Amino acid sequence: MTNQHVNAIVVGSGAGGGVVAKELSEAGLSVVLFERGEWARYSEHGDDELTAQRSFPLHCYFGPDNERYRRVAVDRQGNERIVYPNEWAYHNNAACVGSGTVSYGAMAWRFMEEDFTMKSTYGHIEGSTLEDWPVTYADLEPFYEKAEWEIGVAGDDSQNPFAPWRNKPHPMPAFKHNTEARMLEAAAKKAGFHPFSIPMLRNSEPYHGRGECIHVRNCVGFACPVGAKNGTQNTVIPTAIRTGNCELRINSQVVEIMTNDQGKVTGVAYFDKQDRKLQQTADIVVLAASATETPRLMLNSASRHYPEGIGNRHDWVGRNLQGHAYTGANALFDEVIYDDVGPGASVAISDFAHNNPGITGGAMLANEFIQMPYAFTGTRPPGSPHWGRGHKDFQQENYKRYAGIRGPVQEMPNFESRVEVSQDVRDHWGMPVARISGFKLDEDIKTAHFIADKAVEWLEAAGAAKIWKSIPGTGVSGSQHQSGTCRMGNDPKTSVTNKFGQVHDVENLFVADGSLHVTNGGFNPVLTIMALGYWVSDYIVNEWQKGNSFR
Amino acid sequence: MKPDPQNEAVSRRNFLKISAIWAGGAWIVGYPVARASNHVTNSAPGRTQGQGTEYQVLTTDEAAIMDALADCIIPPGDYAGGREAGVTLFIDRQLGRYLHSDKAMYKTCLAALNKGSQADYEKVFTRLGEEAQIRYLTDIEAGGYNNRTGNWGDYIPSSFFSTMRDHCMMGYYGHPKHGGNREWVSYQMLGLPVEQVPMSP
Repeated sequence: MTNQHVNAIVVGSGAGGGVVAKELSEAGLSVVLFERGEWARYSEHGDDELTAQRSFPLHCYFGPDNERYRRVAVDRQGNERIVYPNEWAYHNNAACVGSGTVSYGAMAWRFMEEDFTMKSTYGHIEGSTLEDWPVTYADLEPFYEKAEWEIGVAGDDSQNPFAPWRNKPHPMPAFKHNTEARMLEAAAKKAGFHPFSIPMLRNSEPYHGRGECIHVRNCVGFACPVGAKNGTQNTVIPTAIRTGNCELRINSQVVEIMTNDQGKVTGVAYFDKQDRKLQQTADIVVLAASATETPRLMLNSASRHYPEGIGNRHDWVGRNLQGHAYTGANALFDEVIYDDVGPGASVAISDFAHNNPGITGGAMLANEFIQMPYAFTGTRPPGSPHWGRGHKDFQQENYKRYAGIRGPVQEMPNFESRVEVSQDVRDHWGMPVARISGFKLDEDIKTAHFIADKAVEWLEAAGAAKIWKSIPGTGVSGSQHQSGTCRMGNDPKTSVTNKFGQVHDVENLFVADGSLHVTNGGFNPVLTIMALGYWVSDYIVNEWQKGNSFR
Repeated sequence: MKPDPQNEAVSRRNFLKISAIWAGGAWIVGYPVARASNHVTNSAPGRTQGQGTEYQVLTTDEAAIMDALADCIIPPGDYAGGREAGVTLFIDRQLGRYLHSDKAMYKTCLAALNKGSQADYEKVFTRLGEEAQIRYLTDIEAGGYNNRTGNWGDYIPSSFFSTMRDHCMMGYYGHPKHGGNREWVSYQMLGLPVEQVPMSP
């Protein structure tokens, strides 16, 4: 079977890839959008907590599967073990059309201006490869706006004095708070903080032909029963397909980037659902397979021109893996605060994302999404019984009297936290799997303690009866906020792509996912990944329209 | 109008009729039979015999040991305990499906755990009183039993306990389609309506 040559291949249909497929196909380029998974549907999955994307002890409904996929996890002592997608050490994101944007919590944060200039703001951090981005907030601002309006965000920055400047308001009004969030909002004000409603990629009113949120409890980790949560699967990908220029090719696992004798990329090799190895050629290849799978694909694409893997001349591919050092505090209240109005998380503060004396960066803090009943069995003050009558009584007494405040602490990137390819473990198709190793720096843990103390202050102001902190461990972060592994930069010796996501020495190869992030902000990263998708596409389309076909 | 608990129970029952469980390679519509229980019986009278209660991986003896364990992990009270909530059926079903890699461990460790109490308590685990069962399991959890004594094979008693405990939680709090949480009993206990209706703050 021979596939027809196209202008562009996009590998991965998540936050970045979905946007790129739409932008290029709208500009008239022929596009094949590759997705290794398939369509995820609420009607198939429903409210099954045990296979959801937040706690998936049985398997990951949103993919990938345990039969064909595995990785190697390495601990700080260097011990290696094979891990499967439904283990935390796998650092799973998702594998379906829309990827993590189908089942995410949908927080729609813009990074702050300082988040793009971390090195010049904070200076050198021991052990860290901290650097400024080659782009500024001002560069990305129009693309944040485009993401907010095309994909759909409800929010109102007027209540957040720390929000970065913007040219246009959010397209939908901010969500109102449920009982718990109203209580926490009042408490935050009492503590002197500046609470506001979290911007969400979710409809607070009908938007672009889809209805408004119905506030179920099974939101984060689940598909939306009414399609009111906005991912790439129900916005930009359908738009791309409607142009007639984009083919979405599901159940297709890309395994190699093909190059010619001159070192130019010619397309990709992939396996289809029947495990047939096929090829697709294109003028341009855009990688948006996640900060784990994008570098893995590059490292698995070694050739005569690129003996260490494509784009890896200076050994930066896969380096600087970072997620977030999640920290915070948990609390029990004397009274019932649960009203079953989902999804839970709605009130946040950005007071401590920056400008904390003696601290590098920081994090926003927000109340937690509703914990489903099985997940709640792991939420206990230290020393509590985990089984027996004590367990059951706790569950029954406290499920509706619990609140948590959490924040994604911005991690300092380090060179030794990384994605490599395994020398001896292969996947179903015989390709070397990702090998993930690394650690958090002491600086991250210090920040986590500082931020957790602020969460405690907030919960104390709320009058909580019992409070206990959650401090992150020192292991490498990846998982759903994974980023940093194909850093963008101006110096080819210390980065993988230029500021447009173009791989330094490979003119027709681009990256458009969280791999590009130089740093990952103190916020959920998805809106930034979407904005980068628009930013990278803008460059490609401008060049294309000037006659540069990258051939 | 105040909701009528009797009507609620009926509508919940109707809802459960259309849920399905995966069993031995086929979707079986219906729900497993619940044994008599103070709470669940009162709220869902007139139950008919359901399908799919036969164990597929566990023997009758193994299931009895698992039932006793499930009731220690989540004891009966105002609401069903682990046994009555179908935790054993959940584990049986999942050992034949998603948790198949744990099957050999359960086969070895259930028997070893049952016999392992004889040295200190002069009875097998299933014949111990509640207090002795809990004391014995607390010891196992704390690493008080070595796998060189008894028939634990290569399995570590405390690790088995930890995995089994987690599986009991999944079976009690997870979706009934996987075999446990019979009649959504844990949701009833937490006061969570199974069917959610559109709401706004």
